[in-house]
Amino acid sequence: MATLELINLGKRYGNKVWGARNIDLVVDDKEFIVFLGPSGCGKTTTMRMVAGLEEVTEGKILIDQTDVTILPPRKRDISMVFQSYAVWPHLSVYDNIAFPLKLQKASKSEIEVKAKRVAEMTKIEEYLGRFPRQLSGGQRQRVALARALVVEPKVFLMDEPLSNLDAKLRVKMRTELKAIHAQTQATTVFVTHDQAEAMSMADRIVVMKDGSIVQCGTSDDVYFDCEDMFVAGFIGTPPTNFITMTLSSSDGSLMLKNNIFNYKPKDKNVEILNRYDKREVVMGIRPESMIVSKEKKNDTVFSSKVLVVEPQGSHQIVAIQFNDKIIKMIADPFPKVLPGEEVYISFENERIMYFDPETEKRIR
Amino acid sequence: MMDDLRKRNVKKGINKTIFYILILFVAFIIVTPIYFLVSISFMSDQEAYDWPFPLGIDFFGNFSVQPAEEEGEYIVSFYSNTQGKYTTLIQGKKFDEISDFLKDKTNCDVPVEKLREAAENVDRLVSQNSDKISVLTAELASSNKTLLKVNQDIVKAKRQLKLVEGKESMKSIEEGLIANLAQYEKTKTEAETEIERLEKEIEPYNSVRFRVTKDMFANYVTFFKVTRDALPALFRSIQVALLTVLISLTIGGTAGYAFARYRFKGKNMLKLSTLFVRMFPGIAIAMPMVIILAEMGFYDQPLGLSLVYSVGQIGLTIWITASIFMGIPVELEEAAQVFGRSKFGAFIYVTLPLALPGLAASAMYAFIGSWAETAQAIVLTQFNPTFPVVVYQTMVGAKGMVNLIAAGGVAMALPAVTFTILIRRYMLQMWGGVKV
Repeated sequence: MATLELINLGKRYGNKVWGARNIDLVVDDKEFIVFLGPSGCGKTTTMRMVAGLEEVTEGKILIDQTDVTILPPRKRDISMVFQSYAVWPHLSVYDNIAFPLKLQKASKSEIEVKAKRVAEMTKIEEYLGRFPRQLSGGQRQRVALARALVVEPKVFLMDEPLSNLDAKLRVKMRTELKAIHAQTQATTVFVTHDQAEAMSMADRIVVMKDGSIVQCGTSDDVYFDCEDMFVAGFIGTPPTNFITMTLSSSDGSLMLKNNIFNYKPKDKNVEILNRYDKREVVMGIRPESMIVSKEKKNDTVFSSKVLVVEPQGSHQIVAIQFNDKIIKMIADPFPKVLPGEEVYISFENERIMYFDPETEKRIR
Repeated sequence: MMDDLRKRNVKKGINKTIFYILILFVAFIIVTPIYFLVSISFMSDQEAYDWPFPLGIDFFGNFSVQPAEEEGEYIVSFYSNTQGKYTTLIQGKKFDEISDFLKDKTNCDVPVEKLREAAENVDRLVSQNSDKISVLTAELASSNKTLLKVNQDIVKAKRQLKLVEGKESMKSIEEGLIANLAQYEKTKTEAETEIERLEKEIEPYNSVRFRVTKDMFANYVTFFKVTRDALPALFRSIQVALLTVLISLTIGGTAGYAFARYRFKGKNMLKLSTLFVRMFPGIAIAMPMVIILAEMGFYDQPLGLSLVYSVGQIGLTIWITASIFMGIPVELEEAAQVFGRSKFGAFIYVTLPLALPGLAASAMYAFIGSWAETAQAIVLTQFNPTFPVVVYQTMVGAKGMVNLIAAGGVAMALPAVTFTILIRRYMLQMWGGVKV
């Protein structure tokens, strides 16, 4: 297994449009990296550049310290799982899996041993003699996976491999993929637009937007310690609530104000916000960091009428009208909150993130 | 409610019936000309006179041999299904000449031995039953005489009737004549039935019948025998068609792949313009081509002809192959590249096998399109004509020999039909897109 290094990688379509730009990333050995972002953010482009299927406009790709930027895909020692599986329909499952090994001129017995092993790993032993059209989507996915695993590559690429499966199967495959990764310890790059998938599988998540990397960190990093408003708004369901506040200081103590409530920042936030005195900041609070209660408490920040309640079983999502926005909060499943009811809301202070409204960057 | 339901069912039934009638009609339109062409190509000259009424194809010829009045000569007749009776074909005494004539006329190979045997049989029959025959012949003669006389009477009576017609004074004479005429007509009918009966009665005693298997492919053999170099022309035509397939598939296929896989400026315009050449009549292109090909040294050669055909075929091939390649996901190729093939290798080992059905169907189009083409071939060949040209020349040269021309036509259809049957499995996949 190996490391993967992207240095100032960029891809330009035509003369102006950049598919990806200024990508700098180091993937460690045995690491499971997930590229996450909305459609058109350049995550697939970046992966295809790593695979060698897309020409690189600028920058370098190093695999195990070897420059592979201009090498064709077959010489890069990588393997890939495609979104549409790309299982060859004219070959049987066994031949699909054996195809890469045959090209490596492996002996027949070696091919058989390896193919059997990955088939076992991906649970498709009984389908080896069949043709892809006789398999379901999930089974084809496993064949694609087996084919990618059998070559024991330096870097393992997966391009939204689960997006064509139904919801239930997707969750199951997620767990299996993670188990397979634990077993093979392959350096893996995984592309997805599904944040639940990313959060549950990744060692590190690379959040991308408009062709460049916005934040790179563990699941907890991108969830609790967002780099900017995009990440905070993209990750989490429902996403982070943004409330615009004005800072003012009186008697040496800071106060955040808006037309509905005032809030006094505490602890480390006081220091951070000092620079923004008399200016606007955006307060970002996760839905579960806003505590909903039916009675007024000491730390209640403001109260509001409930607009809508969305029961989710394990929790309920309470929505309130806040100026021209809707704010969503996650409350315990009991007691049940009813629409029209008055609720009292308090904040979990250490979970609040502050953003600069102009640059949309986190204030640190 | 019930009424509505019944109404709807009736309406449904009517629609269904109309639909099936339409389908039958279309099938009829398609099948009838083909059936006529094929059936006449199996008919002999003699049968072709009755065309198109004998709808079925006869596999046998029925003959009858009778002694002629002249000593030692025989009359040979041939049974016509349409007319329901024997038609006299030839009278003569030399059996080998008769046999040759019959072969020519009816496509039946009647051995001389068989004729001789039949003649001997009929002679024996006649001598054995000479009494009966003489009686019957006498009766027949008298009946014939009666018929002759009554016919004369009828003519006379009719002439007289014309004279007296419409004249008041001769009314009684007229009535008498009409009565006479009716009497004559009755006698005539009687005589005729009598003759028919007698002929039938006499037949088993003075004629011998036999049946000979027809040579079904005689017309085809004749066509290739009499037509100036039909066989070399056939091979030349196949050569031209295959060359056209090769050229148009190589050039059109690669262009189709480019149209399917790559994005470039003016792609749609270029793709559309490939069809422009098809808008010009082939014959208009052929005229200047004569000069060009002559200068290149390809005039009157299969290669030159296939080059001209390819011009028209390439456009269509591009469109068909482009849609086929578009149906094959590019990921399949990319996967092959990732797992160890070069770009070209991925095309050869993954895309090509998947595209093969569609390519085969496209080849069929090019084959049929160039195989049966006549107009350009007439212009562009001189001493080495292709098969359609030969058939055309036969048609112009052999007026009236419908069966021979039909044989040529069917022979011309055969290679195309064979080719189509061979790749019929792939035809559906072409228009339905390649399912992957």
